[in-house]
Amino acid sequence: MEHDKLIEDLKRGDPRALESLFSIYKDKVFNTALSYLQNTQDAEELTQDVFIEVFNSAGKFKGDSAISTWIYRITVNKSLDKIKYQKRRKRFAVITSIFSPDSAELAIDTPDFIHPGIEIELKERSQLLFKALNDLPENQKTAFILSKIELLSQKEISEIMKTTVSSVESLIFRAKQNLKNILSKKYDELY
Amino acid sequence: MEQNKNRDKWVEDVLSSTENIKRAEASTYIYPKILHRLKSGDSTYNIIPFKRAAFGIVTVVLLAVLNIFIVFTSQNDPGSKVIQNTESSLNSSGDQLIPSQVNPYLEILNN
Repeated sequence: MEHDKLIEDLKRGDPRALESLFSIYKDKVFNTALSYLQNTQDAEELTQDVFIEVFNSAGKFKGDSAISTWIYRITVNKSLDKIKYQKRRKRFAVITSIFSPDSAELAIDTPDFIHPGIEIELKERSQLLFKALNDLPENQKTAFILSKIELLSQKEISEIMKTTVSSVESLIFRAKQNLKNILSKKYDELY
Repeated sequence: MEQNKNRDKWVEDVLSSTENIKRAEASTYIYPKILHRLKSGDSTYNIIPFKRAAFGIVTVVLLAVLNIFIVFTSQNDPGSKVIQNTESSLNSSGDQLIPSQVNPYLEILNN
């Protein structure tokens, strides 16, 4: 009920409603973005983009789903778009590096990501997991992040991804299988 | 066997490394930045940077203009007349292009 009022206020362009929504969902949006982008600065920028989109497109929100579902969906879509954009930039940087090696160096090199919420003794392992996540197809990656890191229920994930619960179950299963294969190869490389 | 066991255990450990993950806190400076962007009208996220899109459009337009220019100038160009003349002379002497119906080998055999 309180959320409905927030959306109504937001539709009228009330910035206080945006501030309230921001305080409720900022950490969820930021953490989801962080799992996808694996860079704090990028995740902060994306959090801004998400809430600006929420403010601008509040009029389009019909209330068919929960606000959290809507905000998560915007976050996931924007994260995937940003990853595609970064991949394009990397490809462009590879080409430009042929002509001027120094200028493209920053765009190509991305250091391994360490999640700030991981315990110290698990940092090295989680680093490998986040790296392996990047090799998964988009929908498997989304299902895994929302389920294992955001700890959402399969029903919530199915609403965010606009699919069925059984599809989500299958996506998580395949994501785990693929991750196991990727990590097994990594083990053989390391040991 | 031992190697496989170790590998499976290691993989499971890595997969479960995000269990009990704590939420990272979003910076308090994000909200003022959002308000600033909303006030300044910078609310659109450019997937394709404007400069690159403009460069692409200009390149396509230039190529199109150049192609049109070449097509039109080649019609008035003396060099292209040579090609047209050659084509017309070939068309007029079309008979020569048809292969002969006379088979010299058959003629030799008949003789």
